[in-house]
Amino acid sequence: MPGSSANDRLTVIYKAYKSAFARRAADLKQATTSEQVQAVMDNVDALEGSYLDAARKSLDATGPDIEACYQAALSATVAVDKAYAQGKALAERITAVSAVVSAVGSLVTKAAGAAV
Amino acid sequence: MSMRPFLCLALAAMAALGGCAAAPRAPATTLAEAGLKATGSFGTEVRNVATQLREADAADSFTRTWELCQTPVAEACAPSVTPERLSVQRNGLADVVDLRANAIDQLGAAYAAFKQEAAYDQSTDLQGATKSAIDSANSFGQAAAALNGGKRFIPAVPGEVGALLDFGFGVLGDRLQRKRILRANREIAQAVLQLRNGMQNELEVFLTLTDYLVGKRTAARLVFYDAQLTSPMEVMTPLADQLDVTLVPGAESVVANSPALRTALRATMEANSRVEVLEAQGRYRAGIAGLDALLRQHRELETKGGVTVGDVERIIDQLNASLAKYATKQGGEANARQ
Repeated sequence: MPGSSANDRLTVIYKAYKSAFARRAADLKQATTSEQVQAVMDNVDALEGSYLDAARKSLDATGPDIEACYQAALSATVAVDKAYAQGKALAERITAVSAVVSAVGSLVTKAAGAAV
Repeated sequence: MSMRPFLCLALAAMAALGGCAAAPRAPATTLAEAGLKATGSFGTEVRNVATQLREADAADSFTRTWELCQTPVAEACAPSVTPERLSVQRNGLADVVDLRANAIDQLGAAYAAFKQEAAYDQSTDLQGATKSAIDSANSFGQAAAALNGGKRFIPAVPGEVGALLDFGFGVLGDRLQRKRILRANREIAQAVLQLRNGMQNELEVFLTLTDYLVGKRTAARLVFYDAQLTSPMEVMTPLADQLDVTLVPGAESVVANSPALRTALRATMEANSRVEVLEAQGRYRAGIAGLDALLRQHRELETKGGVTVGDVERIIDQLNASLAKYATKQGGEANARQ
């Protein structure tokens, strides 16, 4: 199976941000504590930062560890979609999005390689 | 060994030389005008993106604060400005986008000098202008390479465009202006090729960027709508026009009192934003297609001494029509804000 391209990686990162941004308003309406509010905001901001980073750096480094990062990011976004589709509680959804934040952050860092 | 073949070749060469000796001023002028139109439209489009990136903080801060004030957690409702880190990142991207716009502007200056040379049969600062265009395209290429991890990006060049890379000069006429025009033709073509490859290199980034920017604007527009700060007729009237139906007098109050209609119009706004994204992405693609079409005409000028800029004109007209629509929308929004 061919590995992921730089555009594949950019796409998964951008979609992760876009979904989180689109869901933010509804998530905030369900928040019951300041911590949850902060976590929702922090997750979206972190994903936006990763996207903006990805847009400036070409994510074209190659290697099994980078492919693993890409697959981890994909899996994490699937898990988030599943959590929302299944109507999981906000706390669980926040945890799922936090996992995407970590996976996407690793993907940007590793796939950007020597990018300046 | 007979001398006849050599004689025939010599005669053919003389005939060709005589036929090509005149400076191709008219086609060069036509091509220069097409280049000016193409670079003007594309430059405007690209600069719009940079401007939107720089201005995103205001709408973004508005949206996030509104959303925070919708939570049941009372203390969450406080002004929330876009985090500085994100703002810095957006401005950094805007700088890169501006670099593209500057390269396109420089190319436009080269076409202006090319047109002047072709039109007035006198010396102009053509050499300086083409050098400036190439320098600018090169600096853009270096910036694009920097985005690419410092590596040169070698995109797949379409066959017709690729032919430019090795187009030969053939036999040059004796007239100085003809030499200048053909030399400039090749140099400008090289700048166009460099620019086109850079823009193609970053196509995917630009496609997501347009979606990102429209997403930010749509989110803010929806807040205006939900807070009833904008009239639902801004959405309802164009929809009625599109469906070719006439709204009843007092339609606005009908909408205002119907949660179902307000929700339906909200859905229309979101659908409209998708169209807006596709239009913006189409303008970028049209810009690249315009550069491709220009390259084909540079080759025609080189090899045949004539150009047919119909396809350049068609692409640029489409781009301009879309830009005009965009400008009208922006103007409408600005007026609505006043």
